[in-house]
Amino acid sequence: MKPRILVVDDDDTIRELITMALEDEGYTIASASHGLEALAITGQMPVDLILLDMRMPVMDGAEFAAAYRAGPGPHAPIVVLSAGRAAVEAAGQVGAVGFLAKPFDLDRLLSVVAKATGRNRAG
Amino acid sequence: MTGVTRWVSDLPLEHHSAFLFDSEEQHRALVAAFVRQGIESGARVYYIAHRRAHQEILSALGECGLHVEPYLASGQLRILDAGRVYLRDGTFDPMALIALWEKEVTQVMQQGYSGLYVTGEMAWALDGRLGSERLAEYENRVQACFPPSGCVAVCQYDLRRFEPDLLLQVLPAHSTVIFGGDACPRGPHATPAASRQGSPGPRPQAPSTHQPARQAAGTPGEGSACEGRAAPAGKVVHCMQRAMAHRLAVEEALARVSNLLASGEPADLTGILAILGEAVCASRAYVFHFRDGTLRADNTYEWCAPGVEPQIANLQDVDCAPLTWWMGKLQRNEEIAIPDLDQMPPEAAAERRILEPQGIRALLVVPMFSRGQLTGFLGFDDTWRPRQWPSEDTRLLRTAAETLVAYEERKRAIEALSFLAEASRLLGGSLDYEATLQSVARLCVPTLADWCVVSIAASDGMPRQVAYAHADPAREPLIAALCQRYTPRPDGPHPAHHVERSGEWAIRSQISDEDWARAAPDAGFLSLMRQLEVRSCLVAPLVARGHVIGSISLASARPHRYGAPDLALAEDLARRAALAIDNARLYREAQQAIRSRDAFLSVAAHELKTPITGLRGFAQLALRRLRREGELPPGQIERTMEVIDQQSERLARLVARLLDVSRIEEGQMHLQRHVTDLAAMVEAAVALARTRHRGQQIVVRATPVSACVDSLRLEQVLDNLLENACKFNRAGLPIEVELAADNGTISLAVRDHGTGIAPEERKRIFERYYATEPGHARSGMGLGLYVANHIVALHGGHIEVECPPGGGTCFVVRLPARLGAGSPGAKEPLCS
Repeated sequence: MKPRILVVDDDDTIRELITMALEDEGYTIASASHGLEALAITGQMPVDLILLDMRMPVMDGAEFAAAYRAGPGPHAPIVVLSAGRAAVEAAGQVGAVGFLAKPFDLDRLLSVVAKATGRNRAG
Repeated sequence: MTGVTRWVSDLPLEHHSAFLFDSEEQHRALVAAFVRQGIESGARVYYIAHRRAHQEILSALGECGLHVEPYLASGQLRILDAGRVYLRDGTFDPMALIALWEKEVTQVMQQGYSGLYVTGEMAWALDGRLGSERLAEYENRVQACFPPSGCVAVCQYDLRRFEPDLLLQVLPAHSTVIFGGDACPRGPHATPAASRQGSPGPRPQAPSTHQPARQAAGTPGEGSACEGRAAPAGKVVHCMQRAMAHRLAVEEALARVSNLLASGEPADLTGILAILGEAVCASRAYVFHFRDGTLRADNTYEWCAPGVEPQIANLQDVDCAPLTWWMGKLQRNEEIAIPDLDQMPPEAAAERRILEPQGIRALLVVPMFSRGQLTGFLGFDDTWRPRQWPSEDTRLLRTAAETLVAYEERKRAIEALSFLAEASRLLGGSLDYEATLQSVARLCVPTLADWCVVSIAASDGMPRQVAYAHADPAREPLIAALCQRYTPRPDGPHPAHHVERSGEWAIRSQISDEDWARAAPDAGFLSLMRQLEVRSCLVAPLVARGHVIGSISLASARPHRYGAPDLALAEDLARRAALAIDNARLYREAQQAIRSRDAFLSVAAHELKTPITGLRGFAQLALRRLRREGELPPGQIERTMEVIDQQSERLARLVARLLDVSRIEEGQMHLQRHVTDLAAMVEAAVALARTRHRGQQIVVRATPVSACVDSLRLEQVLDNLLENACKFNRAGLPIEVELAADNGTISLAVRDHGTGIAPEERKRIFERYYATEPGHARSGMGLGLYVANHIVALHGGHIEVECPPGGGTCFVVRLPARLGAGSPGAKEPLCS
């Protein structure tokens, strides 16, 4: 089974970039432009990892994390996507397993995702 | 006629006697007795006056019931001037005067009189005339020139004027000395000084030094004078000793009182009254203070001799307004000397009604003045018997009153200084806004109030009660309830609203239950006010940098609590408090600005990093694939180039916006106007937005209209509004853009079908950094609308936010059609 990864970011370009990079590595990708859309997706199908931006319109990252955790499990681990040091802080707030500070390196994205999904990069 | 006069009439007057006296009453009584005796005995009577008009002497005698006009007419009584009798050619010659008396005695005898009665006021000897130093010589010789019977010479010595030393020289020459109206007791007598040393032992019940004692008056002759021919000098010395002992006691009391009040230590005022009261053998000594600015007085301190009933509890808040006789004397800075309560003038009936129930028989009171204002009075009571109040006693009270006033002024000044020093220390101790407000409230109790409320004018101009304190912390919940439930209103009973609007002080000196009942908005308010016991209040404005920022309300359970000294102190405190509150507020605002800037920087970083992430990410992705595959499919090359183009443009716009903010803040944003076809401008902006947001449908309705604007800046505004609309619009519904001109106004509306903006947010979305405040769900730097609004304002217009029925948001830019008049930032346009 290919791990299914949900990318939540209000920026179209970032979503497109992450989708292309992870699909190249064999992951299945779903994407949402804000928390509410993301909740709709997690409500329909289980995901293995959530890449979550914090600052979004409609429903931000923290609100989404809370709502997601309040729903029925099992819950996928979350990796926070955010700019600078705020990413570390936000990761702590939402109980994320890791964070990616923008602008990030593709290698770094792939290694964080591989670690969080329990896969080797090559696998 | 007084007892004194009767008593004197029974004196065995010797042919050379001395009258000693220290009050006008004594003098009058003695002289009247002498004249009566002379006339009745059929002698010729000479009265030798010094600086006293004849008429004055006649009326003094008349007051004693002695009408001498017939005797003056018949020549039996003659009134002469000392200058003409004693001082021939301005010089005193004892021998010549004695020769004159010898001649006179012979003459009156020849004229059929029974003898010669001569009395003279000896004060002429104090005028320093040539020969005056021979007074003692004269007194020693004069006795010899009077026959042993029928002839009497009486010398009048005013104890207030003659020094004891001089008296001791001249008095032994007299065969009889009559001291005031006083009875010289036969045995040893306790002087006031001696009784004080024995204090608090039993009080001497014997008649005091200057006391025209009732028993003496009632038993004529008994112990009535320092009589006796054999050793008059010894008797005189005894009398003089007593006079001097009294003077000494007064001096000593004054010295002790001055030392105590000037020591700089807090004085025991009851102890000071004890010193004063014991010095004159009073039954009570007391101080009254007027409540500031009123005729109401409180007995503040009292001393009572053993066995005398205290009155202090009964003499609080005494209304002195009806006591016109009493107050008139005090206001004129006169002492009130009542030797006998039964002899009070008829106009003092109101006073008597107050004094009599206190068991007062005699009384002496002096006023206290501070900076020209009558502040109170100091006094003695005698509850045992009527008594004359010698000038020594008045001097004692006068000096003590002055010293006491000086002490109180100094004490108040020191208290005010230390209060303000403490206030400054507390207020300077913290920059925390809430803590500062609380400090201000705490400071006011109990020095200035029983309780206090600090109120700060909110942005709507209404007072907000933000801090309070009560001297009794158990009652603070009452104030909390008051502050929570009752905000001062323009029509309410609380003057805070008026004070904060006008910057004027408000003082209510006497608030009654009825006043509260009238003003109370409901029963709850009335109940709170009754429990808080407000009888007077003072509301002071808090003024900082020329603006009223709030007020302090001070409340007291005492009516007339706030007088001039409190006003001065409250004013000083209010000034310091306002400064501290203003500083704390500025500090808080500065802190908020810093937090706001930090939040902005964090958001700005996020916004800038997002396009950089796209740029780097697509470059890295292309590189990875190129390395892995050896080439890139044409589609990906195109997409990568597109992303680079879009994201670098986005970066450029973000940087430009940051620069705009910086320009606005420095006042450096200027317009470059020219006549512009607005419809074309709108079409171009919309075309660009359509390429950026391919999924969005944008509908345009544009009326052809031209105006003199900065087209690039205005396009920036439209671009920003379209950007927001695309960001928040719900998919599938069109964004509507409409340009119209109507009634001199050009309007440009951009409407989306998004979630809309909450009413409370509408005003704030144009604030700088608004979108970046913590907890805010909107993305972006929050600068776009701020810059847009500024640009429109430079054009003399404004942006309105409407939430039309059916949802979404509609931003409407309204510009004056006749552009060119311009706002301050607008440079003169090319067009007009």
